[in-house]
Amino acid sequence: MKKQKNARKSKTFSTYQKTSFSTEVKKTAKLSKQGLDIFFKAENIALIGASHELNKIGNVLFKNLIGSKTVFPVNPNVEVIMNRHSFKSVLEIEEKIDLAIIAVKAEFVPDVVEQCGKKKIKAVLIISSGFSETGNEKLNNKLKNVLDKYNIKCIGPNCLGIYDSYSELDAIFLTQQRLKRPEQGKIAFLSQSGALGGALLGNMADKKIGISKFISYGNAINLNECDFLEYLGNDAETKVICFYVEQIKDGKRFIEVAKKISKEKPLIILKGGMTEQGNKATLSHTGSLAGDARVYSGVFKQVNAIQVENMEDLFSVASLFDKFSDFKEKIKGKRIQVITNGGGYGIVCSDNIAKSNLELSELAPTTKTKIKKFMPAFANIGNPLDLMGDVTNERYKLALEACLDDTNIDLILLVVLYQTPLINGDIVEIISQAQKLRKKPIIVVMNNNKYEESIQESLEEKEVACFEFPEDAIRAIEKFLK
Amino acid sequence: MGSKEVKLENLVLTEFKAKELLKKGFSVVKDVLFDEKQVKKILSDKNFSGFNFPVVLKISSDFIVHKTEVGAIKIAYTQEDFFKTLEEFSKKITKFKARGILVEEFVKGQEIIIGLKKDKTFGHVIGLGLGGIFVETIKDISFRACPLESVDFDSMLNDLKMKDLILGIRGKKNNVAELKKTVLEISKLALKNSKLLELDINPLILNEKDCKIVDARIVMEK
Repeated sequence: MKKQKNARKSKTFSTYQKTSFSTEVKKTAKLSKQGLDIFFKAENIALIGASHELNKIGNVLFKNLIGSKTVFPVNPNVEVIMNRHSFKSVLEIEEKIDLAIIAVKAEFVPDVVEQCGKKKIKAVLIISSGFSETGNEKLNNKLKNVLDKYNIKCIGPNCLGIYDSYSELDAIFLTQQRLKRPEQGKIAFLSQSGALGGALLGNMADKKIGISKFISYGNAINLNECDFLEYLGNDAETKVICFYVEQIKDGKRFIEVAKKISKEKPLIILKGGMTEQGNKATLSHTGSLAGDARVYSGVFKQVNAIQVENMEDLFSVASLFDKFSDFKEKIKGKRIQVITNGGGYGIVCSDNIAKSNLELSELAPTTKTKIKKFMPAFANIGNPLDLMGDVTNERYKLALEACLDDTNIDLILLVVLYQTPLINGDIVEIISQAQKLRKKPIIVVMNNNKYEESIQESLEEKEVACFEFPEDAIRAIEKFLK
Repeated sequence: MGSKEVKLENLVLTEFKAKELLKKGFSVVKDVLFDEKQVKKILSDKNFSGFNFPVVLKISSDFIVHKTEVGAIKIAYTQEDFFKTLEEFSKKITKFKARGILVEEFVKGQEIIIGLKKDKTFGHVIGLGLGGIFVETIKDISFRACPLESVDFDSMLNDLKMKDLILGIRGKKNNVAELKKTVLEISKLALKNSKLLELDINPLILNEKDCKIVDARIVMEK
């Protein structure tokens, strides 16, 4: 999973030395079925608005891209950018260009896109802002007309960029130092908002949640959410799709596309702007009650998407689908067994389960007999199963084994309070081994204080799902088992 | 809301016209409209038949949006009640620029709202929820986009906190199959009428036997 990072490092400058001035025709992206591969699998990239000035967007993008792609910097005002010849315009470049990334002032964008059209570039990613989002409809229309004239596919404008962990395309305008990129994985993240997209990418990196593709699509001037969802739906590198949206552009097509995708891949959606304003001027009750929140929520259900209520849930739910996709079909019920080494945590867990649409499982008599053998005589064997403060690694192991074999249980919520004295770091291996048996999903709740942080990290390295608070875990499980 | 809010940009069909339209494809409560002249005759002859009591009397005017609020709807339980209310309402005909007095059969059951709205993003959407006073108080309503399928009705019903009231409580089983049919028919109606902006069926009365439209309002694009 992590080889990608190292690969990137080793490639950085040597790649550039080798390829930038070579005239050899590099393999270009396939234009066939997978339409948007022209963006994500692009090899020859023109960066229009490349800059030698440190921390300018055109400079950050340049540095992020040259690690793995052949980049042609375009900037008419300078001769050299980071030791490389800067082209006056894309028309000066001899090689075929797969993708142009544009980070110039908004007013210049239509003209440079015109040049891209003449250069027969079929895909442009426009980072620049200052179009319809600021009310500049005139410039917006001008850009739209140029894109239409040359039949150019466009992501943006006004976006953070795109990222592909498989092709190693890093076209995000934030530095890799300030925004750590997530590892390679199977979760795609589509975001209308750039800021929120960036923030969540950072969180995913921290939580070791792997990503396949990231798309910040901004104003969606020609490619909109439906094009991206359709593409991700067909993308072999994507298993789970996360989507942050404020306003869907093409509602009818969204319904059609989302219905199709959700049959194969979980589609998890966070809708921003859910205030229940409704249209006050309307004459009917329906009109005033049919605000965005109710209508969107209804449509999301209709297309079998999973709607979450906050940023954290977007990825915790996605991560459960990612980690346990092989279980999904096997799980028939919603019966949760809580195993804990702290009574209070057990109670909070069962309270939250009771409030949810999940159920507390009832241990089978044979399981109870097994557990009684290794528990103190006075222990209460039930749900929550309290392994008590003197719990050892061994007791956790035996309890897990017994519960994994119990057909009355669909999923195990395992509370591990690492402060109790008789457990140690080997617990990571015990949990990881139990999970490898693939009998039932095991979800860990673990306090996130300094002392426990390293244990949690080790668990996450082994792809064990970890939560800090029971309520967050249970909310995610509820969405996962829906 | 009053007559001032009834803007001219769109065509608003209030109860009488809306129900006349809906009668063509839906089950609407039995009703009869008496114009001012007919009302006077009934009052002078003291002669009214064709309905079992109780009956509902409504002042039928395009300028009344909420009948309860202006005292334009009453239930009459007896003949005596009926003539009294009819007399009272007849005096308000001019004030409300009413077309007459509407007399309807009284159907007992659960009040439900079925709403339709042309949403700017998804096109026609249908809402289902508890009707009558519950619409504004608990706002228990769920939406789906048209065209609706049978499973969509099931899942939107399942969304409602008060779904048991619709299904029927205390041993009663409401005619939910008929409600489903009605909702799916509304969805078809929307597909055929792109100019339909809003439709409120509120209330629709559902009981063990019937599923009948009692009041409705339609907003059409001109």
